[in-house]
Amino acid sequence: MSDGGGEDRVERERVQFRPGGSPDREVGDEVDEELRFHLEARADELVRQGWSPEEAAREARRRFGDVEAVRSRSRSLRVQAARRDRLRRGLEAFRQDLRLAARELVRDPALAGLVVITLALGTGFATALFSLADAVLLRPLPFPEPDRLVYLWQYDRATGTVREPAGTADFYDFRDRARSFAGMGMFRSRSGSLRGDGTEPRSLRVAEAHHDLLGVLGVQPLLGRGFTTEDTEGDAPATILLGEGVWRGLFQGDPAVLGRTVSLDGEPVEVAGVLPAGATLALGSAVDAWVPLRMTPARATRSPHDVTVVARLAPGATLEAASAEMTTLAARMEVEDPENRNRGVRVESVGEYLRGPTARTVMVLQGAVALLLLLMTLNVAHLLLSRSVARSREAAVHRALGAGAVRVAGRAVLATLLLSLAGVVAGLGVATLLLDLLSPLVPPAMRVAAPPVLDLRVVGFGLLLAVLLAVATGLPPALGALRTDLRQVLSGARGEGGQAGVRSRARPVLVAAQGATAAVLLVGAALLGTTLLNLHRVDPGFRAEGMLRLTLSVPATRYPADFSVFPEWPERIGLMAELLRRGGEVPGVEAVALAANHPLDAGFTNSFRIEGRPPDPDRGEMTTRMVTPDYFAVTGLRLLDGRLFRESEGAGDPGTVLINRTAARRHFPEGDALGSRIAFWGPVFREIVGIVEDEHVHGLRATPPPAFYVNLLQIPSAAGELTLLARTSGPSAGLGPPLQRMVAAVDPALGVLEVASMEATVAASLERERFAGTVVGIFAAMAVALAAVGVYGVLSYSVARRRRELGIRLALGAREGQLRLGILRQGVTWVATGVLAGLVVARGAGRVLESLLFGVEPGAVWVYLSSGVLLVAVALLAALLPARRASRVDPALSLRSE
Amino acid sequence: MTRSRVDAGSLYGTLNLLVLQALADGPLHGLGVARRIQAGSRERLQVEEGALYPALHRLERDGLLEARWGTSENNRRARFYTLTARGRAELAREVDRWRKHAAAVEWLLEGR
Repeated sequence: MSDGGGEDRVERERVQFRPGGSPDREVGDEVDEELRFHLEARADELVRQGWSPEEAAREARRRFGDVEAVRSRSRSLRVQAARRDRLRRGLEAFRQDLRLAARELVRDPALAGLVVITLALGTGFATALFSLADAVLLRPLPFPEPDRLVYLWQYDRATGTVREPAGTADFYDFRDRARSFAGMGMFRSRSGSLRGDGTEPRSLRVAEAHHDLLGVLGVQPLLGRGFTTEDTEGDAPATILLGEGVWRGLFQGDPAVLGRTVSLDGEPVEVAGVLPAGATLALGSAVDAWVPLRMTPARATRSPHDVTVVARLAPGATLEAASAEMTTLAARMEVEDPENRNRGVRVESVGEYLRGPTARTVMVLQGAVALLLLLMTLNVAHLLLSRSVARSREAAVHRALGAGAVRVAGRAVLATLLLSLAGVVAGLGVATLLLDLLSPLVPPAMRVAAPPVLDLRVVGFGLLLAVLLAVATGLPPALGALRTDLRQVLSGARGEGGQAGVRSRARPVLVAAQGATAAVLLVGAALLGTTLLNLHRVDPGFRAEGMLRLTLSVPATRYPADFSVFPEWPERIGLMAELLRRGGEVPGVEAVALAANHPLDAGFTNSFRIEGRPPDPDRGEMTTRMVTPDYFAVTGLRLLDGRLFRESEGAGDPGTVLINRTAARRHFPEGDALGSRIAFWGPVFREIVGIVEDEHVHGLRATPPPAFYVNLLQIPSAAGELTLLARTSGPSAGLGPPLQRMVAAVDPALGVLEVASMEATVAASLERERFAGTVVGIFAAMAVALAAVGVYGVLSYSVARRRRELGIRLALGAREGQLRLGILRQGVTWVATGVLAGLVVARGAGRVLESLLFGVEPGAVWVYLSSGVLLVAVALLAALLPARRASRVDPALSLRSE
Repeated sequence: MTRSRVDAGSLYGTLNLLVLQALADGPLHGLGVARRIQAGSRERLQVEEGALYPALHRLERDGLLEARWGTSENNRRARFYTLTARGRAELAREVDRWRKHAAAVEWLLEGR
């Protein structure tokens, strides 16, 4: 061989040495081969024309040019081409798979529909609950270091109260003597009537705030300044801070409002600043404007208990340490001042207080959603598993025809992914709808700043869920299809062999798991449902239907309440008489009454003395109800003994008082209440003339407190608010506006703060329970239905698979009843096993519900028993049809069909 | 004869035209394309044979040609190129462009 040929051989060896495998390498080899062919064929041609082989090779190379340059250039072009080709083929394959998957879904619309609906409901509930939890639980309060903010409540061991506002003197004691706090402020709220220049007066909620309050909260005014010592303790002219809402609504967000003088309850006040909407959150209720709480340590008193104390924990101080310190301080204060007797102090995190009750409900609902999601995943997995049996033959054929394992598995997941994406998109719609329904759960004060919305994170969460579900439910059947032996599938040997065996073991576990989940949800629903029933059965002491309530603001400037001439307050008594007279004339109104508080509003408590008995500080206080004589007719509150107030009794007549059933039983166990006399405001003793039924002033769940009733016309209230109650002859809905007009006609300076029917008020007080009960109830119903579908599906499949066996047994003389019983027993055993496990779990989970329950123990045996029995009965029903089918198998037909 | 030959690669943009035209009558391997260009131009056009391959591979990458392994006239494995439909359309465009170009140059020369 010549030098040229030698070079050629070296070249060849290098080519062969290169490890093959990668597509790019193969392309390189091809280029080498192509060029080699050219050179060799050209050389051969020249040899035939008479060249010597060496010269022919050299000439071929010369004509070719730079071999290395051509090779490298061509290689990179071919690699590019190959890549482009692979991409195109991949896309084509994907399009084909997508078409295949879509066609497959269309072929079985019932299955596709079931899966989509299941996923839509599951992800819909999950995303809605997530959004809600985000708004209620996860979003921090809009204050710096909100975890350091606490309330200092008082409690009264004698009356059993747990959260009472403090007296102003208590506030100064706390502030000056406790070491655990970096700062402390206080506030109380009232109503007021605000009027800008030339605008209509507007009723709003006003917080009277200590000058340190905003600093403690860490709130920066949007405009202007906060309060100073001058505002609260000095003689500075009256100022007001507007809330963002009022500023935008009433003053169109005009920055020039600063320094302007407006009128609050007829008094001129200067606008000193504007506060962000979120500032009101720490107050626990919506507030429209803030004014200074004019108070000095010298003027402070132990009672009334009307200020809420907010503090910021000192750096390094824990809530526990602060609690311990306050307990010690409260004990010392009890000794120092008899007025503090029985009073303790409770330190509570602001976030905990605002979120606590809702957090519990949301947690219960989240638990229910998690269970439902689990159930839905099980059901979807189960549906897809059934599908994969039908598909395993197809997949095995695809495999045998050379489709890659990844492609076959990918195609199965793709179908599921399409389904779950459709489900999630529908689920987002469901979530949006649900969120509207769920939003009322958020406490109103928190809704002001942060209404729950579906945000992008939540949408992302939903999509993630879809992909997870698709993989979790799509992959196992796909893998199963890959394991399937083609010969076995094609030879029609169904129901035997390892792979089908795995599935027949998985199916009962799925059914049992569904039974368990359904049992947990059913027990929860039964407990919450019973709670709702119990609450509705509670006699609230009043008749809510056909009763309307209006909260009026009564400006002290027009209706003075000067205690030096008490009870000679002609303006106030005149106003009440006028409201009663004109209110009764409104068409559709049967009767009207006035009261300090409506029947579901507890109002305040007073200590009292009983004539002829020694003072007893452990006797506690009584809830004070101030009402006009018509109150009993309007509310339907029953008289048990004695008499009610008389219309004729005026301010000059001897004072009379009524007490409720609980007060009579607790304080007059001898039955000697009537005729006894008690004193509560000053030294005046008033005679108990009647005993009335208990009103559930603390809500339907709470035991009614001992209460006494005084006649508002005899003892007018100094409060800035008054409640007007109207008994209507028909539905109360339309009577709000005429009553409002009536109030405005009596005095345009009166504000109407709120109009609501008592029915709505009762319903609102049960909102949490009703909501939790309804949602869990719906979930439970869905769970039972899903479990039934599961049992039905699995048994039908099993019967179909065992047709041959059943046919043989029938042919061999087995009785139809026997076969039927066998199938029934199978289904019921699976479900019963799951239900039993579910009941055990539910017993543990029941504790979570405890705070929501009323009149039923979380461990009530009948709940578990009936839930279990119901589920087994449902399973039995669901098994009935497949069982009948099993006994109807025609032996001849079934043997031939295989 | 050698003196009248023109290096086809140095005529700007003509190599693609020549390759496509060479394939217009049916599949050829790379050497076949070189022979066809020489023969078709009555030996007047000379291509540096190596330069054909990047041109073929680029046309293949761009979807104007399709390639397939086959057997050559003396029974060796060779890569054969065929015009695709897009390649045929491109050829028509190239021919048209060349004619306009050549006519323009001719007018210019005649006007001298």
